[in-house]
Amino acid sequence: MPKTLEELRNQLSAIEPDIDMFDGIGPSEIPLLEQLLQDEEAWMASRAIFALSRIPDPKALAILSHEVSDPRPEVKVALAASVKNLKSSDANDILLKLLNDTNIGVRKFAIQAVSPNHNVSVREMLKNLEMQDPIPPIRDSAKDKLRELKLSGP
Amino acid sequence: MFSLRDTLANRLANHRLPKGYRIGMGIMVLCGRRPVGITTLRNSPCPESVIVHFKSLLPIDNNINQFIKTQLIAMQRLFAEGKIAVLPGTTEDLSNNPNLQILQNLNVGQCISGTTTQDQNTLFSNRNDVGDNELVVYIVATMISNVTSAIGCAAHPAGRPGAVVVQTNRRWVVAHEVGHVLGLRVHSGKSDDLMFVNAGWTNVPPDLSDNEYSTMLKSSLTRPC
Repeated sequence: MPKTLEELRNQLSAIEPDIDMFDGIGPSEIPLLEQLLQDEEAWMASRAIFALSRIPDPKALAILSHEVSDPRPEVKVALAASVKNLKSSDANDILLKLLNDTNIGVRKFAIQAVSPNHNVSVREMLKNLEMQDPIPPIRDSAKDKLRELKLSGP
Repeated sequence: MFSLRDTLANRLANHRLPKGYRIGMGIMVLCGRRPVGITTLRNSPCPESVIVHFKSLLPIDNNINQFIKTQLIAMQRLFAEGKIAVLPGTTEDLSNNPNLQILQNLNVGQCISGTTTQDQNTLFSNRNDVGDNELVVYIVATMISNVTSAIGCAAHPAGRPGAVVVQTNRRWVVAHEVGHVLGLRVHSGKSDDLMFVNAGWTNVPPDLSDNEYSTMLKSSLTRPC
């Protein structure tokens, strides 16, 4: 039986959640999750992002791709942190935009999400961040990630 | 502790003034259901207190102030039922510290007691004259765990007791996290309980059992008034 919006909101309200929180959430919940992206509580909208990222469905991916422009930084931070749940080929364009975001938190978690399977544009952006980001911890984080990916010198 | 001016009007309107409550008592602490003036607290039979400081990585505006006040009062009233007075410590705005900007969106890893990330270690090192046995509640924009975002997390480095929360209209999140810090490690499956795993409490205010109050009273962080 499909969940109601309140059932889904309640399921996603764990204070210190674990992965079980997403049990039973699938393609049929995509329209409700899209509604929760407008929730007045930013953390609930963020939970909807994480739930969508765990549903391998083109509709979910389309919604997530649109969320790179969400006005709430908390939502974009969640998107950056949930990119690791997407197929690399699906994540490249999203990740590229998030690495270029004006919000420090978004860039911080986007850097952490980069993997060896992402494309050359993503890796080039990572190198740009290492050299040019105005925030020292972001430059350091990009440097660490490049080292982890074996894309920088010793 | 709360200001009579903030609550007296509502209580008068609803004829719910606690016994012993008098206009002009000033700043109050609830001991059980009994209000006690802060100046007489040391001589009162309220046995234990815990001091809670707030430090915000977000600029402290009206919304953050209201969030702190709402969460604090909810916690004070609930803990007072177990004769634990929650005394507010300082409130500090850390948003202008450029070194902490990166921590506004915090990586909390597994969020398991005894296990902390570098982000948490750095954040919790900002105690700024808080006493050893006093708690700090840090307010951040987002908390990212290994699997999703968190509303609260009580994992903290040894010797730096505290918790992290995000701003929310769920009223007992700070009380829930402080409960963890004071030794309530187990979540409840009942939505009436403060330690319910989920922020969707029913029959509010939520409940704490006698055993849970007893555990909190035994914590080294609850001190004689």
